Amino acid sequence: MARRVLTRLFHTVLVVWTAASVAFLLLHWAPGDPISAMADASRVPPAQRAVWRAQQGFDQPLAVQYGRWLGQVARADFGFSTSQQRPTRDVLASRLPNTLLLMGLALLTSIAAGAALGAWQGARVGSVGDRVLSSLMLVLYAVPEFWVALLLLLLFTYYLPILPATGMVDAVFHDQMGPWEQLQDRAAHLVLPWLSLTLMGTAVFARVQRAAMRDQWREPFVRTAFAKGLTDTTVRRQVWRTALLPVVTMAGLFLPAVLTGAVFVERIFGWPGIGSALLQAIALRDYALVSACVVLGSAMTTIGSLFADLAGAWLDPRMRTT
Amino acid sequence: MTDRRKRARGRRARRWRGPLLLVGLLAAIALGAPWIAPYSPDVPPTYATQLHLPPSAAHPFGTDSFGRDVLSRVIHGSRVSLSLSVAAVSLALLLGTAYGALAGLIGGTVDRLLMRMLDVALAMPRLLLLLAVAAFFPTRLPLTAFILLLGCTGWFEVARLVRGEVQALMHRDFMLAARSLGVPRVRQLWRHLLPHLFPILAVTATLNVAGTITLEAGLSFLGLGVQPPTPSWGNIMLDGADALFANWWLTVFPGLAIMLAVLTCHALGDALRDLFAMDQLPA
Amino acid sequence: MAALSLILLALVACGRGDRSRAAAGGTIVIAQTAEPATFFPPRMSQVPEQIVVSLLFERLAELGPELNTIGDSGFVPALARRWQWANDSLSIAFALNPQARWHDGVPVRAEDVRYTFHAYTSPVVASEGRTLLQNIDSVTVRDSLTAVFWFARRTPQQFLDATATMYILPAHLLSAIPDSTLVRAPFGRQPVGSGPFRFARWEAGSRLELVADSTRASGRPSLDRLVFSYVPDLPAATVKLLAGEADFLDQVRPEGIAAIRQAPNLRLHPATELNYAFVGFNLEARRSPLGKPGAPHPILGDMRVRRALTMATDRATIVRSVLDSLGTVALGPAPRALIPDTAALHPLPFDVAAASALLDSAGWTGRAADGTRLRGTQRLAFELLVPSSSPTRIRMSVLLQAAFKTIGVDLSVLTQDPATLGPRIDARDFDAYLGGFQASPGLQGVRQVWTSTGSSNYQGYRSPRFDQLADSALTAFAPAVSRSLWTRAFQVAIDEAPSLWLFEQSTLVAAHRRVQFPPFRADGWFYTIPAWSVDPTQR
Repeated sequence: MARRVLTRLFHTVLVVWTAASVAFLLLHWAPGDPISAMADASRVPPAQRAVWRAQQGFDQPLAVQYGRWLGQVARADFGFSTSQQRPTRDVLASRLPNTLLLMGLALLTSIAAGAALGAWQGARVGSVGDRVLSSLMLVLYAVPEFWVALLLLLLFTYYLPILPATGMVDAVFHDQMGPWEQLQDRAAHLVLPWLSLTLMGTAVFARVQRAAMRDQWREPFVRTAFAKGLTDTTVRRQVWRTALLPVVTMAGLFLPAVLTGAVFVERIFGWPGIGSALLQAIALRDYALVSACVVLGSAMTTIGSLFADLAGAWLDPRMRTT
Repeated sequence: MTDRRKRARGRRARRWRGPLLLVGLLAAIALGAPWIAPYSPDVPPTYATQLHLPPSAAHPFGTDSFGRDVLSRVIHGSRVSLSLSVAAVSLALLLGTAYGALAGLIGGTVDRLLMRMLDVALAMPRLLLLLAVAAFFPTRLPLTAFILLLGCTGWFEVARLVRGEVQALMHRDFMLAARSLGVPRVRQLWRHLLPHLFPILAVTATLNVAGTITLEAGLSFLGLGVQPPTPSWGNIMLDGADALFANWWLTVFPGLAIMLAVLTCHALGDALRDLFAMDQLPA
Repeated sequence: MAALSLILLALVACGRGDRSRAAAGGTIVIAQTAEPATFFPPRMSQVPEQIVVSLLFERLAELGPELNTIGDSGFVPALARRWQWANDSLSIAFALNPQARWHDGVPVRAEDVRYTFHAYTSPVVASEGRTLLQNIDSVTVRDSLTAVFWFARRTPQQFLDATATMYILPAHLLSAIPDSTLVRAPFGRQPVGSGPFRFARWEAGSRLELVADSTRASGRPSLDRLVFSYVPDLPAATVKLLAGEADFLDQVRPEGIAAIRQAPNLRLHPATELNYAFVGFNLEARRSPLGKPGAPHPILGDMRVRRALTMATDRATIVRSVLDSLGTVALGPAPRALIPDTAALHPLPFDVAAASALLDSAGWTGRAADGTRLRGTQRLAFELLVPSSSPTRIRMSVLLQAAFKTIGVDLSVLTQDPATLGPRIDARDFDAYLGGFQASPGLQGVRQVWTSTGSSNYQGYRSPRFDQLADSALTAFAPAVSRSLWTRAFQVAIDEAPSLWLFEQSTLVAAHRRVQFPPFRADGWFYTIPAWSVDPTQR
């Protein structure tokens, strides 16, 4: 087991390195650089811009820039972010926690709500309640997250203005609040972005859980259990436990989708996370920050699938040998 | 017994009726757009008098900031959004099947190498990749290039599925027989594997079309997709994003269209899965 | 006697302090859609940076409300209390306010001014303002409170050059840092200035907080705190305003006007902005080198075609459709507020028939199947680059496309992000682009962009008449002469139509009615923030 984890980890590093290198090269081959991306760059004479370019080494051969960047990454230093004018490490340190809070919360609640709904449905496949919920989940599954986010914004900040529109905390009063009010303030700002991400996630997990439950009911061990005279509740719990496997696997695989959703949701709600910084970084050709985001994103993706594998092995002994 | 079978067939037919009806409807709207749409999707000469009109009898979905009829743009947009998604997914299926089947058929070191490369591709968050390429494209990103872009970044998952399926099929008797008889590899793929791959490809196709419709909308919404003034569903929303609170109809109606299309794909996928008696979603 | 006057002075100071404390207080939240990238003044370039820098730092003198730039008339003392010209007009001695302090308590000294000039002109700092400081040979320290500027030539804009570009920097905090690392020094994120507000904190992506420097000798601002709240886009900013989460929004979009008018607590106020936007035609063949005359552009090198394009465009309707009441048709290569005599200028008329006739006379008489004009086999078709960052310009481009179509011109619009668009314009690899400039009082930018020798003349506009008039206007010492020369220069730019002068955006700002402020300055609404206050009854 330990050896397998080690191999997979090594593999992860390799994958992340390749992905980041591809992104780095793509970025640098694309026309334009951080200097040309500055607002009103045309106002500054080309000679002046050449000076800026040389200062930051953007005029050097690609191989040199790549080597320098690799050296930086090896030291966990992602270089200087030109769009934010500070070390990329600082940008990540200030933005990543916000994204992780949003994503983590959304992922946890989606799994919890999805698993609960799916289990409830899976135990009564075909009933009216199941069919109503299934349709609802199908609809939630079908709508784009950013559209849901826009509608929530429209509904709860404009037509029924009960929630704050953007940001993480109240711009003025947050510092004067007591701890309890601060918590409330944070929660109020979190509701809409969280809901936008969670609605679709819930649908995904509910569908997986329901299908798994439905299949498990058909398994021979259920019949055996009933034959042994076990109560309905006990059997249901047993079924639910075995049916959790696909959900856990899904959790690992769903990570990139949450990440993608977070990019849109952060943009719409002005959530100061890594996603909104990334969009700006791409527009401003911020090589350092975009590359760092690719490293993070691909690391998250591979770690997610690694997690799915390991959790699968742990939950279902039959999978350990494969 | 026959009675039960008949009932089962009736149920299956009912299951098919809905999705097929919807697919027909969407196809009819897309193909017949110029005849169905009440107005042209372009800027009317009298634009100055009909800017930002809310939904009314004359303009059921309202008008946008150029005085264009939103219903007509949604209808014309269906052409772009749907054909683009179908074309991109077709390309992805083609590439993915070729790659996956190649890996599965050849096996050994080649397979391992191909799979490692695929792992790298799969580890790149697709949105990031698309954002990078779409934003950096030096000239106009024409519709065909956009299709190529979506297709070329969408086949990784397909390849993985196909390779897994092929690998499983290789151990089935008919493949063992084919191989021991020395049937050429291309023929093995063409005559023996493809028919067995069809169910999984069909279901994957429906799911991917749904995903691509959403993705196109998202990219266009960020201003990186289809070039205006060509209408696509995401584009129309982008036109409305500036004025979400004043012109809600520009956001709501294209979103509903997307929802309808995606639901159709899912319903079709579910029906196909039933048909092929597949229990698991191809993840 | 001395003691008495000291006591009196102290009393006056106390009295003033008390009075200002009575009126002082309150917090204002300004919603903004773009965030500063740095607060290091030499490297500021965008409006969000200008706003914050103007509050944290001081210049030696400020432009007066009538924006005069010739000589020093109308200029208002800021960090410098007074100034004295040398007899030959080749140097100016600025006497600093002896009570001025940096926010860390250290007094402001002439050495700071000398250092500031060094930082702004250092090639490695590479400030955008460097080109505007070329006429200044050096800055010397006469005594601890007097800095002397030495000029190479006598020009009408000498005083402007010395005061408009540089925000004075604290030498005691920066001079130890090598120039090469100045730009990245932490100072850029935690600035220490001498302006009316102190830097308090910055949560990137979310908000920036400034607090009043209440100990300031030259008067504290009325407000206690100023918070900039950063939001992703204007609709979100508008909602923040409507919900009472923000007090001030500096750019109201046409779509937001109605909702803000209906809100009982909000008021709209007009503010001028010194910008103008245009369809810039490339007058020379694509990829001609910048700065040297190239072959004429096959289509747009012909003045008749350019004039026809302007005349086929109903600019008034287009501007009204996109900007509602927030825009006007541009007159020429400068915003109206800086054009001395707008009434004397004659814009090209909107006349589709005349435009068609012009194209006929230019030889574009054939017609392709799709209605596009032909000259021989060449189609009258070209590409317009539009920055994807500007929804306004994207909309304009769609309407331009429709307008050009009426006279048989096939315009293809290409929306690109500024990073991609920039290099193409640099390389002159374009037919036309929808550009805009932020102008500054004094019109020095006109020379840089629109004259033959201009370093940013991307369109290859080379008109001896225009060059000569603009040069004379910039070197005239008599304001009246300068004005009439500018008027003639602009008429040339209208007649020769190097660009289709499209629109000027005027801004409406929206403010909560508890915010009280004096009239805005034309070169930026934010310059008066220190004088803003909050109605005490509505804090």
